[in-house]
Amino acid sequence: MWDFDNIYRAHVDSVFRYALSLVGSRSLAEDLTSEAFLALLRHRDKIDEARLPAWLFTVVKNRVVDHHRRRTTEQQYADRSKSDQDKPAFPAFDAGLLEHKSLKPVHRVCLTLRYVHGMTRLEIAETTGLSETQVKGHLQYALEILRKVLVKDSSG
Amino acid sequence: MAKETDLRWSDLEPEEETLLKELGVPIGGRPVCPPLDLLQAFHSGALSGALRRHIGGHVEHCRVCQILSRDFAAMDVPLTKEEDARIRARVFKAHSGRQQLRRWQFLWLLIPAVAAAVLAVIAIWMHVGRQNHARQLASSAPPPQSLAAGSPVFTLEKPPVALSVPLLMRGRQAYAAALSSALEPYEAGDYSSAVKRLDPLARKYPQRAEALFYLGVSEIFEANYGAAAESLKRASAVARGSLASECRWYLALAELHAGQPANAAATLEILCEAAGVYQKRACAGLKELSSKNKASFSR
Repeated sequence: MWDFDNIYRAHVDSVFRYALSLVGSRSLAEDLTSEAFLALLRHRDKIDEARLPAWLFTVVKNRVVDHHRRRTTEQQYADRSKSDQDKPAFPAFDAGLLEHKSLKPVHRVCLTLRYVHGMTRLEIAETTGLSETQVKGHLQYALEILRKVLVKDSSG
Repeated sequence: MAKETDLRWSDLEPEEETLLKELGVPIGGRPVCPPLDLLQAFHSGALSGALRRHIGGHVEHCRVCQILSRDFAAMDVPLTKEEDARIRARVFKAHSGRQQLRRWQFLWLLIPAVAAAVLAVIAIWMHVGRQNHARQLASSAPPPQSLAAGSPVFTLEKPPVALSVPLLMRGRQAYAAALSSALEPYEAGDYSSAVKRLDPLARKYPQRAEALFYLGVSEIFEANYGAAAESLKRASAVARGSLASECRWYLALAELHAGQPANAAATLEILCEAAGVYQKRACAGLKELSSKNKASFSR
């Protein structure tokens, strides 16, 4: 007998993480997770519970592939690149700076999204799942580290 | 799009601007790295064609993008309560909607069941009514007519109304309802009215044997034997199963009354050769016909 609530609670986190790893957007991962569980509801008569969460992962992966196979993804990226062509491309961050031993993954992600991708703190918060305050704190810490590195380099 | 890109830098703080200048990063410039969603899609193998080649070509040489993908996966920020609540709301709302739909679908399934039950009740009602009427006829109607004195074989018995349940359930409800109504005078013994009611129905439904059959029988009782023979001949042509035998038996009776013993003999022969409830009577009738003067059957 299916207890959908239990199944949902058991798998929602892993499905969401998987979706997030595929799309890099928490809002899109949310949509994909919802769609996967809705698909499970639609096909629950045919799905053996032992096949979970692999079946849910497959649904997510297929939806992601469908999403990107649409010409619109490619076209949107091409359009965005075209509209930005009159602007100077800012050089990618020095990877050496990012890999400083005092920086953790969360600091590097915040730094990269902020200064390479030009995101606002709110956008970074939405992308990473952190709060805006947390993003601000991580950025301040990371900037402090970078400043010290720059000062050290210039003085050295 | 350009305006949107500019807005991205609208929340820069002075210390950030200073750092960017020190790093040589132009404020308001365009990113050279692909967005995170495309990076992740590339790594998951979800991209194809030119876009895949483009992103792949960039990622191969961009250490920043490689680090971002690695670190983003390593961050592993779990599902927040707000996100869980939104997903749960979407899924369970749709789920409850479907359950409600299923309940309504169940009601839709009940409709044919109710219709079948109603038809069954009608059929039972007609069957009981027929039996009651037969009893009434037995007590009040005149004795059955005999076509030949001393010949019980050709006794004219009024066939009771019997509409099969399959007839009622084959999507012929309109015909069945009209027939049921038209048979009311027949059941009451008012054959003149029955003919008036059944004749248009038989014309409207020439492929339906029941209306033609009861019309023919009513015409026999109205002593309109020629018309009866014609109606019953047409009924025999379209009738199936036991009704076909019944049509032929009454056709033979009509033909005998109409002074067509040769035709009656031919009809009886068919009945006599085929297995059925009229087989014995038909064979006996054939014998009787051959032993008597055919002319005595005509009126």
